Amino acid sequence: MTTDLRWRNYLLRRGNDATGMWRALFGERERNVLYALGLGFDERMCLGLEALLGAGGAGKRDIRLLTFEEGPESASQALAPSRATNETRLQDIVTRAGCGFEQRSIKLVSDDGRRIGGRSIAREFAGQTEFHAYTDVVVDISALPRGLYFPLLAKLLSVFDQPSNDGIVRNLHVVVAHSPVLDASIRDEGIDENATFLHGFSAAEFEREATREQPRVWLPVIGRGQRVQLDRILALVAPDEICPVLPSPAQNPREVDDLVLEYRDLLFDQLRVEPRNIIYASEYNPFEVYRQIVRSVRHYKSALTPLSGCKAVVSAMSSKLSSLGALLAAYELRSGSGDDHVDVGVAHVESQGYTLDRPGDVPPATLYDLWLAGECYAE
Amino acid sequence: MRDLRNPFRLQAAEHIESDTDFLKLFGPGVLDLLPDNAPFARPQFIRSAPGGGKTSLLKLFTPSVLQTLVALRTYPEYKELFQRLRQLGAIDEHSIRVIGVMLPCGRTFPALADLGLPSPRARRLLMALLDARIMLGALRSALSARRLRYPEDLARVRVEGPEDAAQLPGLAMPCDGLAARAWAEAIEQSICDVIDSLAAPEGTGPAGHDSLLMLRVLDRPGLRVDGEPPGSRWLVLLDDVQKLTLDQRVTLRETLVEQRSRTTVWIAERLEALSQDELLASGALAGRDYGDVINLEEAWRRTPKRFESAISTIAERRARMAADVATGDAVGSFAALIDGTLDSPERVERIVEALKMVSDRVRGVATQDPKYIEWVRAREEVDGSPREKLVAWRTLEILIERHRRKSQQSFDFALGREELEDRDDSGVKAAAELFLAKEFRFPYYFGPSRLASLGSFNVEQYLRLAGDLFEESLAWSLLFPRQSRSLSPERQQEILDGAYDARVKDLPRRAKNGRDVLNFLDAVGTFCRDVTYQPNAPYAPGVNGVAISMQERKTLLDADALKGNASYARFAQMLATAFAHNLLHAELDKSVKNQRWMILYLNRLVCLKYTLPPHFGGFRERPLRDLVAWMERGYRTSKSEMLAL
Repeated sequence: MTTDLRWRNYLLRRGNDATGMWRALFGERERNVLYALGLGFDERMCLGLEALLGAGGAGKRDIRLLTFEEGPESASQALAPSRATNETRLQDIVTRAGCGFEQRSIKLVSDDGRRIGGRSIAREFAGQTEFHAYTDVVVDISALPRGLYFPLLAKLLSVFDQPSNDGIVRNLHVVVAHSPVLDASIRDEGIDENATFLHGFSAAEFEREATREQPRVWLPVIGRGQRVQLDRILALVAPDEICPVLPSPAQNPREVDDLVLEYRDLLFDQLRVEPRNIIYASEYNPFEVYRQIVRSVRHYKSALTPLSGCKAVVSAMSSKLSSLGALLAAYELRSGSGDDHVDVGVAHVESQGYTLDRPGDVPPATLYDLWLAGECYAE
Repeated sequence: MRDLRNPFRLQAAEHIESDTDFLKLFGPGVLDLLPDNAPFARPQFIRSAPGGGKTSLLKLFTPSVLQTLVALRTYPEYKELFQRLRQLGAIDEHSIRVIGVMLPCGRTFPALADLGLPSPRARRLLMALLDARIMLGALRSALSARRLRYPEDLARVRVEGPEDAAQLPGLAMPCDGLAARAWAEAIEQSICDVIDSLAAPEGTGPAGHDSLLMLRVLDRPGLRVDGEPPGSRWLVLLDDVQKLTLDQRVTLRETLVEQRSRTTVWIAERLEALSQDELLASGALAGRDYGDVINLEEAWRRTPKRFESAISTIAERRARMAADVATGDAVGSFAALIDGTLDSPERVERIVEALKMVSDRVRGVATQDPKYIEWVRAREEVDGSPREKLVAWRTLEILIERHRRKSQQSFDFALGREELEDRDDSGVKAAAELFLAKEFRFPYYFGPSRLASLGSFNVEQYLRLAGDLFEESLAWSLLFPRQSRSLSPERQQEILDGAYDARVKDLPRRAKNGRDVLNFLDAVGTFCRDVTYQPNAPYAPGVNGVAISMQERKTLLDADALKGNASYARFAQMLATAFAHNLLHAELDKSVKNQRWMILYLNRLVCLKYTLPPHFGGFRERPLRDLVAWMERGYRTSKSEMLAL
């Protein structure tokens, strides 16, 4: 089994460094950019787009707006005014900057009431031909729910990993306006009864009857207010080993203590998690979360080889930035071939909507750009 | 990794790792709900809200569990279960007769439906995947039943095809277990690849087939170990069927009916799997054409004493397990941990104070209205403990209030003792007890019997509550090792009071339409409290349900009517969610005042929150439009007639 990491060397820029990087990139030559973002209530929705357009440069700037309806009973309906404000703001930006604009609607629920958002959004980006007109594809996940951006990014990574059929190397960026305080103030409401494995990872493979004896290692990236989700994912995964991933360092220096207090009965009384199993990873660096998870899973797989290896489950229940680390880890482990392949499921619980309990004083969000594929990794 | 410190926290059967632990914790009472006559001869639909005990029941019939039970049959704690299963024909003295193949349906099958394949193709893949998994399960179970190892002993298994022409596509039969396993794994793998692929699914994966061919193989019996069938009957146990899509469930039922297989299939599903119509019909529609339906909560409701006995057995087993692993002088009995009486000496002073207050009040009424003098004298002669006397006086206060309301225009004849005895029934006494608890803050919800009623006929709900009490007892013994671990009624009530907030309050987060359900429960709870706590206790011991007419219930089942009335549609959805989560329980076709009614009883945790009696039978009829308004706008309490408590 390899010890190498796909993103051992990575490109992560934050705040002014991110805009500085775009300025430099767009200053090199004409670049055609496709910017995909979700229409949501989150006040961070347009921050990334504004910053990117502010970086100037020549070439097309096309916007792909992904809309999704959570249904008339969704708690998010109460946030419709914020969503409308975001939409108006976006239209204003598009008009001012003269961007191309296309809207695609993502069906979240099938006619018989099943969650199909993951498959729907992956279908919206069928293959490489979608991107032939562009040099750079930017996905802004600031206003997209996890159940959508995980499958979307898995699909895009798989598309970008295939040899380009026109010989052009394209760049894939992910943008997120990071604010742990805001992330923590958004609460799921109407949480589904059952957790599921997200499309785009080893969902069915993980559930095979033939391999049901393999030990299961669960790595939940834990955030606040996720007790119901943890219980439901626990019921789905039935893990043999649990390695909680906690944020340290974090914006709140006592974040780990607070999380341990919040989940002590579940983690330590009920599940008897060994304290040495806890993984610490920086709240500010998704690549560290990714690295820690990949290494841990590989270690388990190697140690459990006499028991025919193991399966791993990753659950992202924390900030968007940390969640991206979990996504990258799951993608890399799943994409490996031979000994490097691990069946990794991403276990997730959907909800009917969200409520926002915004504190009065929220530190400004910080923009992050993760350059995941393209020129900077080309050999 | 598992915690045996508080075994009440081990709730789901699938989380109990060892078969011995599972058997140690299994309460045999649930077996009484199975039909006595040949329970393995017909398909069974086993339904309940989450935590009703479906998976535990199914798991009991898996070979490794039954083998373990046969091995442990001489130990006293397993004897009852052994005998019961022997009577049912699942085992005999030394071996197992029914070979269970348990298949959780939440895995992969629902994702198959999301591929968007044409219906015939989706059906073929569903059947192929079911067959592959039944084959893998049957191979494991067959070896386990013969105490052989999987997969090492697969070569000793021989699989023969069904007698008719239908063969499993891609598997040349007869073959050995190794070939059968390889076939099943390949089918499963190819279907999983289709599901997990990020590319379009059309045209990929196996062809599949149209019926459950494995049932025919098992019928023959075509699966033998060392030339012999591993048992006398196969039992396919499909768990979590609610996780299949509606189309998949219909396909499965139709296939089972069409095939009329000798191999019996048991289907366990949560109530949430039922359609809104089925839920509003309380499970009366679906399943009746396909086999027997056992709704666990319904079945327990019909025999509440059995439920109390069954769960007290479960509780005792769990407490004993904790005592087995604990060091020191752990108490091995749950009943001994929860004090069930208020008659202890330390409470006498408070009771005597209350007795004085209540008896003075009643004497004051009799002084102003001498026709009650004889009733008061009768009470003064009552013998018993201070608490019994207190209840008797409070009962009299209610009876006087009732009489005063009815007799305002009658003559002032003195009332005799016979009249008092005629009116002094158990319902009024129970109401008096409730009123006293409310007025003097005496504990009401405590002791084994009330705790059982708070379980609302759901094993998990009961275990959670019992677990909270047991946890307190553990903490108490840690802090004060020399003191009694028995929890006082007051402490029990305090702990249980927190249960509503912990289990129900976050419903909007946990369930669709959760906010509507919570609003409605709050409205009904407040309404029932208003009606219950009237000075004359008109519906003694109290009310904990509301009823709508069966005619109005029809409106909720009429799709066209619901299309034209968004509020009613929302109400119907809310009811379905509340039934599925066991927060409301419906009793259909109850005859009152020449009309037929559907009664909606509150879950007993909601009764706890509003200090309502746990008894069944107390309800008030309301028009549907009122209930819809309660859900939408809440219920406004009327204080005019309530006791000032």
